Amino acid sequence: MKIVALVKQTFDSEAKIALEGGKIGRQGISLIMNPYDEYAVEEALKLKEKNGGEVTVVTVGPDEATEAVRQALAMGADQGILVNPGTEDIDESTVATILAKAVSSLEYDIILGGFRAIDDGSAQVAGRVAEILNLPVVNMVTKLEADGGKAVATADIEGGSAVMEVPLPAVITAQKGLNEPRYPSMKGIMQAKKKPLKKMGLGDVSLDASQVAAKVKVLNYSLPPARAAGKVIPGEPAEAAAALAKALREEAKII
Amino acid sequence: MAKGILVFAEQRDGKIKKVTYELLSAGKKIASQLGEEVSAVLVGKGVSSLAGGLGEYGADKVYVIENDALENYTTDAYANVVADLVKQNEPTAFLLGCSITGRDLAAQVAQRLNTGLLTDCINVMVENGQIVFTRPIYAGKAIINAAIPEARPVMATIRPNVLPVDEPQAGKSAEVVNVPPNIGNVRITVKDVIRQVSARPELTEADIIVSGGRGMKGPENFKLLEDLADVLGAAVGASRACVDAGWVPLSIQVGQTGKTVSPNLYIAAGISGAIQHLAGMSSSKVIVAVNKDAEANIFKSADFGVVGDLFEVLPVLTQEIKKLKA
Amino acid sequence: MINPSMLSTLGIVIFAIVGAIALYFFAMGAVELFTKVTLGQSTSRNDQLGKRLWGTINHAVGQPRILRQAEGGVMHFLHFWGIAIFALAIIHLLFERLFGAVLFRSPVWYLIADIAGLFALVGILYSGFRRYVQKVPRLDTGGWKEERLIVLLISMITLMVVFYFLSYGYKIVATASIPGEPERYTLAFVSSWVASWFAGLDPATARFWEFTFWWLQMIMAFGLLVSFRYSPVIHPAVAPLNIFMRNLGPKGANIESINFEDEERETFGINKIADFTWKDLMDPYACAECGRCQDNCPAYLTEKPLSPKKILVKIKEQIEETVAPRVAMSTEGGHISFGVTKRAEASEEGVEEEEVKKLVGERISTDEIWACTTCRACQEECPVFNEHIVKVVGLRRALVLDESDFPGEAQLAFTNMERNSNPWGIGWQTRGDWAADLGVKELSEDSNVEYLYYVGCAGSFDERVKKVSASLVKIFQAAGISFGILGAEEKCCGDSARRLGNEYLFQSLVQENIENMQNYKVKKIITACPHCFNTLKNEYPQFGGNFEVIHHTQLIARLIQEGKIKPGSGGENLKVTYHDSCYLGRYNDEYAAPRRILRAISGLQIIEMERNLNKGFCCGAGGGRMWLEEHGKRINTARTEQALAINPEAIAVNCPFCLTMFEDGLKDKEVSETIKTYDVAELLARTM
Repeated sequence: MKIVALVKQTFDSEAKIALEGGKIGRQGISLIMNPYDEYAVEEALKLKEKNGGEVTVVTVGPDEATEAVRQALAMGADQGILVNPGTEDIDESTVATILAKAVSSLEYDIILGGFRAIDDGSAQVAGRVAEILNLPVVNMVTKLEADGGKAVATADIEGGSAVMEVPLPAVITAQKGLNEPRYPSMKGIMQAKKKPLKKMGLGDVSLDASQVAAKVKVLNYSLPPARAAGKVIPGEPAEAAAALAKALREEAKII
Repeated sequence: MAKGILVFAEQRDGKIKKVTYELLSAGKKIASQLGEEVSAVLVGKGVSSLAGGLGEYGADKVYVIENDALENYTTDAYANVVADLVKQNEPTAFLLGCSITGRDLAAQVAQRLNTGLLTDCINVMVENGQIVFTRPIYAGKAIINAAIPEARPVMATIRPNVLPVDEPQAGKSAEVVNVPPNIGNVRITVKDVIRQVSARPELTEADIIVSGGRGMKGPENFKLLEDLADVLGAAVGASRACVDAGWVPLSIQVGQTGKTVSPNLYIAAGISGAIQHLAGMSSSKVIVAVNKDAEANIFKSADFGVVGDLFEVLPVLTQEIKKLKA
Repeated sequence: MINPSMLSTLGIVIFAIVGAIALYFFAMGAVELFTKVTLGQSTSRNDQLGKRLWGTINHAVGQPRILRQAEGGVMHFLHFWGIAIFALAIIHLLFERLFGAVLFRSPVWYLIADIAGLFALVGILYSGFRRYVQKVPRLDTGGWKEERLIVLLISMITLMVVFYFLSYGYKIVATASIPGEPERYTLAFVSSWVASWFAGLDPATARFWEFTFWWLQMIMAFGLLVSFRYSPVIHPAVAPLNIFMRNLGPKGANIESINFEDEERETFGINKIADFTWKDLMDPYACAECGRCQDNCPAYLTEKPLSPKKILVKIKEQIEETVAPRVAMSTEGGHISFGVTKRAEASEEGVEEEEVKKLVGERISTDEIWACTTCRACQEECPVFNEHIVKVVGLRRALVLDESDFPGEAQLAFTNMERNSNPWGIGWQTRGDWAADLGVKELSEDSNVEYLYYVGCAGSFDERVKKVSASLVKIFQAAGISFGILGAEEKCCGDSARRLGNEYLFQSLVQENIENMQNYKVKKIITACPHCFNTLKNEYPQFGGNFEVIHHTQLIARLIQEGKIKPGSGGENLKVTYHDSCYLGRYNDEYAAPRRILRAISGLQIIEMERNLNKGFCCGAGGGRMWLEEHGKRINTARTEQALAINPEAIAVNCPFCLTMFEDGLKDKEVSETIKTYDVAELLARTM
């Protein structure tokens, strides 16, 4: 089984976000593989262990995103591809276009990815890749079985979950709960250094800058007001409880 | 020439979802600034009766796409019919709710129309004739304002429960246009649908978690948490102490050695807030603490705190939320 | 005239043949043991020969560790000294038998020999009594299958001594009329008493029985030599060697580092017996399975699957099944029994280890491996200086570095340490925030300070422990100490990572810390956590980080002594019990400084728990267990119960982990409202 896993390097979820020159600063940020993509890589490795085959990891990002690919290789993926678009002016359509182009030069039975990234959280790249490659997509999958030309996936849907069957090749995106990603062994880490990792530019996937121009333009970045110190709601228990319900509705807008 | 704001009218089981009204209100606001119309697209089986009501909420026109194959949402069928409609009508903007369905559909349609898509937006406005969306990134630690200057339609999904719904204008009706569907190639077969009946959401996926600690005093008192959880559609969690004491199963333990969760709302009742527990839930967006010890650590992490006996606070909280939700 | 005590020529020939056979078996046993042990990796134990020798003599002669337990201690002392001197008596008689030479004629010698024989007899029978009548729990007496060899050994030793006395009794009767002979035995009260049974027997008959019983006694003695090859109980021969080869390095630096630069290396943990060091493979043979280790093991005592003794027994089983050519041991129930193996035809080099149970996961279960808190109570007690903890860490390395098969909670802690340099995964940038309003310098602002205060993860992030950090700052400032912190540049010390088997992560944290510290030309470091203390002090030198490291209680005790801090009065009387942390106490032998601080605070009454000082009972959080879920009876609950048994009003600790564990334990016991846990520094700071 030829398996492709799409990964993205993101900031660590605990990273302190600050603005530098009007943009999100990258200074001193721990970079990690997007956790949802880790589920995808893990699932890819499980499929490989069950059905045989090989796992190719594909990412779009700056050269430092190599680390995320290396991590996937250390977990057990067989080869990696990094396409550096050479510009920061990219959006989801850019990334999807590049990924699709890179993947289209590979053989694949199934393409896995995280259903969203924890940084921009836009949850659309994998779906766009499916659309470009004219493949069906099942998002937010929490259970997957795939062999012999079809996949059966349990996915979150509005108000519950659904079991869906889809012919392969298809794009499947991982939701939390799909699996517990493995921690790379030393052997994995050592071997990852020797596994093939192709670094490419736009030209290498036959694209030019105009084909991948971002459609979304960010006008400005800002930080939310610093979290106000916790507010203790005064009053007798019943009174405070009522005030709390109101605060959750009107202030926090959360219920 | 692109014209008009199109809204995806999301319905389930014959009921329009509230986010649809939020979208219509937002759509009307920007449409009026741009001097355009608002229309909605309603997809499903036997849903035409719902179309008229959308007028009261601001839809000038409602496109109804009905077919047996559209009874349940499938990415392929919905993307096919909706993308076709959007292509034919060429709206300036196409807005969807950022629900599971809306998010899924939006990505496919956006790519098919080769346009940009901003997801999970919390505000939308018109600036210098351009539709500008506000959306949080990095789990809310930063906020961007963004636009789609050239590609059309402008596409966005809007986070539910954030934007206001305007008072409906009773009697205002919308022009209903029935659109014959071209279902196209549906590659995905739904084998089974598991509806959550009363079962609460999975702990790690829940948007709201109600969690109890040592202060619950015993397993019988978890009923208080469950009642609150049911009103909120929340999952129930617990600190290690409750699991140790055998009050609740290990599977609902939140913390360093249990589950790591990051819901939008975490209500901690009778939890002192040891670091081992905080490590499992501190990334929750809003934290509420109920504890009778005013010195408890949990208040340091809480956005809202009530110092008081949880046995008095929780039942009232449940009742009040029930009232608000009614 | 031929000495009538001499053997005939035929007798000498027979003796020589039997002796040679016995010695052959003994020698083969030694060779085989050498072969087994040297399967291990190299490790150097040939430094400080004087110290090694002295220690061996001390622990062999005085047996201080064995005598810590009165009954078993006396038993061992009696039969050890009994048999040792008794062996000389046998050799002494051998000179007479073979050469007609009587080396000692003084009656005192025969008195000593008789006493030795009596000791040996009483000691060995007492050991049988303890094993089969009292059934002392730590001995784990098994069924007949497991015990038959031990019964055989006890019987052989008993018979050897009995035959000796019978032989001597007859000898006294036989030589009664020979001038000068009876004078030898005037003080030999046992032999003389036995002789009294046969008084009046004619000398020739007496001679016959003297020789008969002598032969029987020698057969027993030779039998014991032969048994060396087949018996797993070769503790007497190996124990002194093991004590000699003990680890003389700092107790906190026993874990050896891994060279990850070595590209040839394919595995990093202990996956098979050949991955152990030769010393690790020798340990199980020195072990007498006395169970003192498990009697002090917090995991064992709270009914976890781990017993330090069984780890060694299982390693021995693995060695035997893998390499022993002739004898296999039953592996059932962790006991050892005797039988001819189907591997009898296997080559001397042994069989491929693949054919036997997997060492990690099968022979030794993963639950056993993860249960250890590395508290060192086992090693502190072990009379033969066995080293259990390095083995556990090595096995964990196999699970983490080689197999990537370990508890999910450990994975979370690892990932958190990798990304945010602390096990909770709190954003690393906020590490110095606790000190924001306390007037504490960060070295990036001013590195011209005497001490680096290395705060540690708990002191930086845990709200409760931050209060300890603040107390320390108050004390240091009052004493005019020049110090600074690393703030966000500080990383986790790596203690938990290393002990959980993740040496790779450990080394990356260590390198970052050392680089930062050297960057600021740090010379002296204060730590507020005994885990940081031990790691920085004892393990960082393995990686070129040589600093003068001091635990906060040591520094404070000194400041009080120098008069730089004047403890005030707490204004209240408080009955406090002090809990010795494993890593300050057993690992670094610091028991006094924290107690000196407590004694300096007026109003405190210090009471001691039953398990204290080097017998202190672990809180349950060491060895990375802080980050793992604990099922069943909790170690911290057990320790809290021990504290509650003496009715303290407060518990004093020197370690953030102990602090957390006691606070949890007190909550479990529902006494947290009335009994509080404090760091020693907090008790001092609040009086200032």
